[in-house]
Order: sequence, then C-alpha cells, then structure tokens
Amino acid sequence: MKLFYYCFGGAHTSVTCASIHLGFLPDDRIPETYEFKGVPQYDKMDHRRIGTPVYMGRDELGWDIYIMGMENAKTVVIPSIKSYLNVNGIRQDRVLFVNALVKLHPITSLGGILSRRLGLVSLGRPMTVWGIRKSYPALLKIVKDVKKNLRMFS
Amino acid sequence: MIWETVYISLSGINRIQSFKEETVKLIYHGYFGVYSAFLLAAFHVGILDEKKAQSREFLRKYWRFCRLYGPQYGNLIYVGVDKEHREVYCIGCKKHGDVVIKAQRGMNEIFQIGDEIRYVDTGKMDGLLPTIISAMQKRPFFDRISFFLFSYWVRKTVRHCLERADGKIKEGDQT
Repeated sequence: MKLFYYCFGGAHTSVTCASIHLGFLPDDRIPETYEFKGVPQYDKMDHRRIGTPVYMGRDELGWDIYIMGMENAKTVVIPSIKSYLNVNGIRQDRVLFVNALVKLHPITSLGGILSRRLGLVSLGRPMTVWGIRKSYPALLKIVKDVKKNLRMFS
Repeated sequence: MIWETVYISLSGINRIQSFKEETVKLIYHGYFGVYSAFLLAAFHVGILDEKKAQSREFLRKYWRFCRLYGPQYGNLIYVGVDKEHREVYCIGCKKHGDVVIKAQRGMNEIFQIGDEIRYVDTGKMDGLLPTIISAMQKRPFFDRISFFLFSYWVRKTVRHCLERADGKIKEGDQT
C-alpha cells in the first residue's frame, strides 16, 4: 500500500510530513535547524521533476511513503493517477493521497523560490527551514491524523 | 509481466504462472480531453471518418459528449484499439500535461505495470473556440450558438486532424 504526501514543489512540506511519518524528524518537539540537514530529499526536488513520485521509506504499518510535487494541479493530477490505476486494474484502496500544503509563512515560499527556481540554495534553504519550523505544529497535526486513521483501517 | 492464477481442484490447490504480453498505451492529451484529443484518437482508431464527422447526427452526439465529459479533467477516456493492438485513450490535463505525464509514468514504475505509455500532445490544435464553447455549454440559453460554433470548429479541425492522424502521430509521438 502506498501513501503519497503531496505539495506544490515536493521539496519542503511534503518532505517534512514524510520525514515526521517515518521518524526522521521528531513528533514531540520542533526540530532544530541542523536536524533538517539530515532529512533525505529536503529542498532537493528539481523543478523539472515535479510530478514524479519519490520514495522516502516504509513505515511501521507497512505503508510505502512517497512524496510528490503537483504544482497547483492536484485536481487534475490525482484523478489522472486514479484513472490510470483503474485502467490497469489496480485497486484504489491501495493508494492514499495526503495534502501536505498547509498555510505557510511567506518566508518559506520565498526561500523555496530562491532555492529551487533561482538556484540560490545557500540563501533560500535557511529561509525555508525557518518557515517550516514556524509551521511545524500544523504539519505534525497532519501526520498524527494520518497515522491515527491508518491504524484504524489496519 | 508475470500473472499467477490459483485454482482449486480435486488434486488440491494448483498455481499456473503465465506471461502477459506487454501492451502499449497511446494517450492523446490536451487542455480538454474531448476536443482535438478525442478527434485525433477517434481518427487514429478508425471509429470516425471524414464523412461521418461532417454529419449533423454525429455533430449533435459529439456536442453532448463534450458537454458531459469536457469538464472532467484528468479522467482517461478509452477510445479503442488501433491496428497495431495499442490501446488508445484521451485525457484533459488543462495546462499541466507535463506533470500528469510524469505522475502516470511514476505510477507505472511503482506498481510495476510494465506497459509502455506514449503521449501525444494535441494542445496546440484546440485553439480558443473549445474554451468559449465549453463556457457556453454551462448555460442552456447559449445551446444554439454554442452548437453553431462547435459545428464550425469540428469542420475546421477535421481536415487538420486527418492530416496529423495519417502522418507521424499514427506512429505515436513519444514525449
């Protein structure tokens, strides 16, 4: 069974959610700045790869966790994936999509543009970390709700 | 791709492993999935010809089809199988064709579907009229004028579609 955390660029919020889900980031406190450096795929998604699912790991319930960037096309991309799986006879209850796009601090968005679009990583990445730390409680709530629901289903 | 069939007989549980031949899926995509994407796919498969495309009965049915399925972005519409046994579909992706392509190819790998997917971009053939027709189709008051514009658009596009369907698109442009 596969779980996809998706956001706009697939580089920050979805990666953070997937990392909390898999235990790469703590679920009881806001992580320090240096802890984000150890997170795989954080601020790494190339703009040309938006749409491609990236594998992050397997959780304790056996769900494969992926991250995806969908720009602002989730209303098109998600039906197209489900439709494609349906055509190939794959049951839709094997796939779950979770929107990781919470209301972000504008600094995060600005940092994302600087880092991913303009290539100014050394300037943009600390800004995204600062913004993600501000929004961390909201991301934590998403992951806790997802895990609670997964446990109920399994 | 290997398929395993399990059946129970008097001698116990038996398993048969068989190999499924990998197929090619050809997906015509554009802003809408029902205008030039569908026309090209229909010409490709051979369920439509130039004469049939000009008939009033076809235009009426096709207009209703567009009203029903036009706003369903992201849904694959099965059109048929071509002479080379490729499954032909059309899909509306708005302006996000590249994201949809990467997502579907990603699913192909994740679920080890094994089929080859080829995409044909028909976005440039739509023009402005389908957007206007689609907006008008939401209001029954504009039915007559939208049907008139629709008929004009189909007549104008059919010849262009036929040229492309006969040419390189039939080979399946890989994007």
